Amino acid sequence: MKWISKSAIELAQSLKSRQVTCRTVIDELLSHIRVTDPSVKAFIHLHPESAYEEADRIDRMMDEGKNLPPLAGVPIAIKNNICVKGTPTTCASKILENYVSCYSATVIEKLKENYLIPIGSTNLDEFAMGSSTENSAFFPTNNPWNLDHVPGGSSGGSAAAVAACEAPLALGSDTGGSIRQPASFCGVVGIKPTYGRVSRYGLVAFASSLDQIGPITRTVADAAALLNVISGFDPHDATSSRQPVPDFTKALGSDIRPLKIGVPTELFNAQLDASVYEAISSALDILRPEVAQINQIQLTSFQYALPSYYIIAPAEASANLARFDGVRFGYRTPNAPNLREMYKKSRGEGFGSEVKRRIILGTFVLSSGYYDAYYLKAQKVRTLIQQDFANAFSQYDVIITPTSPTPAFKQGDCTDDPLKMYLADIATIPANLAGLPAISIPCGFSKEGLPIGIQIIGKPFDEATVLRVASRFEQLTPYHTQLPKLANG
Amino acid sequence: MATDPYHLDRIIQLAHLSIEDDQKTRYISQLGDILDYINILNKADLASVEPSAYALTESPSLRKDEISSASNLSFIDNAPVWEAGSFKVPKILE
Repeated sequence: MKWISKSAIELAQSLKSRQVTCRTVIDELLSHIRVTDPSVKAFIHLHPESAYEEADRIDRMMDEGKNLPPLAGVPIAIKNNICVKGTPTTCASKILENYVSCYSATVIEKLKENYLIPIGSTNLDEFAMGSSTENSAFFPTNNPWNLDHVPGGSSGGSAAAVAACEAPLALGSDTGGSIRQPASFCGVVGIKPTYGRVSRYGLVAFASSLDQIGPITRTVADAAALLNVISGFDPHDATSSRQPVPDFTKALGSDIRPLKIGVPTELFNAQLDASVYEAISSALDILRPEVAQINQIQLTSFQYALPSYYIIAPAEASANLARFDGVRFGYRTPNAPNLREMYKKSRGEGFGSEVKRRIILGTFVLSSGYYDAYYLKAQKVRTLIQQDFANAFSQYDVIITPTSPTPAFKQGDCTDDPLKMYLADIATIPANLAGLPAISIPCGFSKEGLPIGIQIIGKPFDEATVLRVASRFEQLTPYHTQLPKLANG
Repeated sequence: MATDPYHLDRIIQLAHLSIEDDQKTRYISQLGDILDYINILNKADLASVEPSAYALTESPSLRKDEISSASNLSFIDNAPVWEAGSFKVPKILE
């Protein structure tokens, strides 16, 4: 554990100064994973051969004195719904169990251009549908802080891997909170960038108007450095933005005294766990002397965010998942007498219970006679939420909320009650519907020793201010320095 | 509604899914809870609100519809059944 518990930036500096080689780091990391991952179960696949090959190539370049990018040589875990050429992209689904990607996602190409080393693919809720990583078709992932609890989801494998020091960095994807909520549950940093900031090309689509790829890390500076690598316009993604990409690391450490913070009262209600209320209140007390103002605000449309999300996301999912029909790729049932039966059985046997539930819900809200009552109404609510945020941001620089109403819940607590599970995303969904950047950073622990996260939401394409506030909070608190016992091997 | 057996069957058919009967019973109850919750939206005053398909207002960046690298795509390896340059499927009519 000499090297792999360091932050990515510290590790990159040690590699650059040749205190350690990339090969040694990969050695240490894989040995650690062999010890801890049988308990955590963060990874679906490891790629030791390609990792060593890449490590040796980078070591040679560093030995020759080549000037490489800031995160060169740092290992990274990839959520298994992001395509890496020549490796299985399963989306933790039986329907894609044997699917091997024939191209790499743009974010993966960017990692390679920056000499990061993908070491393996992490577990998730099937097709990123869930908040606990229990919906994986293969196995559930466990929370490194307490193995009886969930790591959150859907990027639970990525968050658990980073928390357990099985990777200094990871990529996740966030459609309704799938980066931020597991980051909160696992005591790490997770940022969902502005919609369009990071290319979605090569991310298996769940809900295309909401999905974003983003970093999961142990420090805010690492999140900024990784966001530098993956951001930017991509001609392969029509929704990726041409907005200029600043150096996000430059925002860190700068003065936050001029900033005004709004705190929506709507999320401080009966559903908020007492330990979360206490941790968020303490966090606001820590920030109060650091900024110009912290005021309570009202975002009345927040109450409609979750129900409209559970119309829009399943509707888009039902269309996106129509491609999985057993014809061109993925699972095909061996027991179909004709084409129609092949479609039905391949999909019925290949998809898990939650995915089918969302396809049914999405098909229903888009079906004749119900479109106006559900889908159109939800799209109008999306406008309302955007307007509410725009009004708030005319007076405030960032908005702060709890990331999740509770700390990590126990395995199995919500599996029979999908609505209860959906409520875990009540604070994260509004930022997806409005396309805003939002980060979760650790802000305390429950009495049971489970991490609690605070969410900072920013204006469109203003990740820099979000990171600036997060970084200042991190400087003032010790939570990011604490690791689960299991991380020590 | 998707919460009664007749309509659930129709939706399942539209979605090209096969679902066991015991699972259907569970879905009917769960979808009922979810739709009840979603009906909170009926309280929202949306009369003068325009719908949004996307969050942001930037126009999509469309490129020319040209093949750039299809020769490298090894899609045949992932095909369940590939025969005579085609994806083979079961017969359409029995």
